[in-house]
Amino acid sequence: MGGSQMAVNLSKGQKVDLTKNNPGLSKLLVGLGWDVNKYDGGSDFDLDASVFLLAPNGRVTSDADFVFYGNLKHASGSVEHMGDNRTGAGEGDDEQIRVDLSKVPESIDKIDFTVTIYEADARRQNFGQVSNAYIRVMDEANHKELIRYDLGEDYSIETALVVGELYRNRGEWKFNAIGNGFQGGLHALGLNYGVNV
Amino acid sequence: MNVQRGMRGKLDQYVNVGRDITVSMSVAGRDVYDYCCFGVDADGKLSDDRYMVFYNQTRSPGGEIRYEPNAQGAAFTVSLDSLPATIDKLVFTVSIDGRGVMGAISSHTLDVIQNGDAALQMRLSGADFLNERAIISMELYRKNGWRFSAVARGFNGGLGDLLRAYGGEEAAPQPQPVPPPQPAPPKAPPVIPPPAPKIVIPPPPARKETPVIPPAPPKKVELRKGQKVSLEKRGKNLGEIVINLNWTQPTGRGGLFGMRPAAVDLDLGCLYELKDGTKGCVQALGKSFGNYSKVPYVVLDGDDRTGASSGGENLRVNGNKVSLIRRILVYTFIYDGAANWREANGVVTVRCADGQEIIVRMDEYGSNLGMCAIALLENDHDETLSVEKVVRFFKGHSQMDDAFHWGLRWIRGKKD
Repeated sequence: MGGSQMAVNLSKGQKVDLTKNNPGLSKLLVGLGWDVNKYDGGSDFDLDASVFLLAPNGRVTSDADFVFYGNLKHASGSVEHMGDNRTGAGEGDDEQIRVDLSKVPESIDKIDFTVTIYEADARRQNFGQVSNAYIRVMDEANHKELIRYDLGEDYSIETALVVGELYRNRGEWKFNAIGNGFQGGLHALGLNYGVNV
Repeated sequence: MNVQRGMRGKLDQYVNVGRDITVSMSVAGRDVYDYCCFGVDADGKLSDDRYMVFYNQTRSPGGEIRYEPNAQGAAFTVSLDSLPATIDKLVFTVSIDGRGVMGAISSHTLDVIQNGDAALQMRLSGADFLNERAIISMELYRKNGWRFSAVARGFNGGLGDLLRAYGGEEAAPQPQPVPPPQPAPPKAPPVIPPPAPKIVIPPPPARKETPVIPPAPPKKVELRKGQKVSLEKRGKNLGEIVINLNWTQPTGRGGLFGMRPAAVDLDLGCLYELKDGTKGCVQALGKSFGNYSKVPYVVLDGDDRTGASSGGENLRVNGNKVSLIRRILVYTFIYDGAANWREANGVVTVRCADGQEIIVRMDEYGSNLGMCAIALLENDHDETLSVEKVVRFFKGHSQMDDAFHWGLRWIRGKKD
């Protein structure tokens, strides 16, 4: 089945096969993590992971395709945000999202994973103050890490990050380590994807 | 370019990294500010303390980092290309020499200058900080060339925290022999040649502009009214905090038969409020002596009616429970006799386990009211307690309670 190769470490912009190398793979666990506790002072950081299920035009079909802390589960059951659950085998992840590729509606072409800083402007925060941010994709069945992308220095004063993307390619799913930042937080990100925020 | 906190970027987009750059830093504020450049290794540790460049070591071994103080602050001239490959990151820091905090500064600037041109300019103010006493202003680091990161964040514990972050240690305030070289920590790879001795920071040399700063060794701070400082947390825990009330007995000369003015009996007590809402008072009157290890984590050591001769009265606060405590109002009242504060000359000393002392004098003697709220201790980020000099006089407990919105119900009591 999945084989025993090591997780693939990606760098910004790199794309890799996901299901092609892991036949039968359908249920994924996507973990996102970051480190903000190094210094004293300032407001606490509140980082939120959100998922956008996108049509081929790169936009959501309806607001229901936006899965976040206010809408934890997509109607199709294909994407489920685990909230702030930090227990279980994904130790170290700050937030986790379950994805069942077999349940993703045909109309959905891409699934984008993003992280935004809550109230970033009011708290004068940005991703330059966040360290060790990463995304990793695991096989939910055994929590084996398949793909990992450490964002490293690829961000600065942005307040929203598109971390990575699962996308369809010739009947398979691939992963793209996007690592693009936006200013304007979740609001700007939502507008970018066509969500009424 | 204006640099915001958190900004990162490639340095060669702004300066020629093959030639000298100057990192010029300043802080405007009421305290004395020290500027330091740490050259750390890939693990973020100061494995070679010759690369800690500051007023007491103004050049790195090869002169790659040079420190020069100026009227506003200090400038570091850096030859990035000449730095040994083991130096992975330069960390430019500001620390406060004294008790101030970065939240109280009026401004902090950092410029990266080349050929007289400020290519990067960072402008911050006290509003960007809180209780930090040392900050990392900017980092220059290697990652496919040199990059910068405008950190502008810091540590409440000051230079000591900063040094610990880089694997060093601040010298104890008392003069003492240089500690012997430490054995290498167990995790250190065996290839590192000699185990580096602990970094010892001697007290700063005399500075022209610092007449107001008392000499470092005896850590005593006398508060002005309304002034607030936080107790320094040295180790993992705050330890025991002793609040001592001392006073002098009237010194009026007695007559032939030894008639002396009436003795003054000051009682020490406190109102406490815990994080969970528990409130109450600790004082001899009513025999509420408190408890050190259990709620309210404050205990009164007996009642001394004689004053200075036996060291006065003590309240002991369990500093290890600081995170459970919201605030403590220390007061004294004259149990018996007329209010004669002038004669009593009360002094409250807040003393930390490490010898640090904050002194609050009851220097407003005019009142004929029998009760005085002396100092307010408040939880500071669950880490330590801040101490504020209050010195306000009241008719009694309930008036004081009202003024500080404590919300206790008061009934008259009597001491045995």
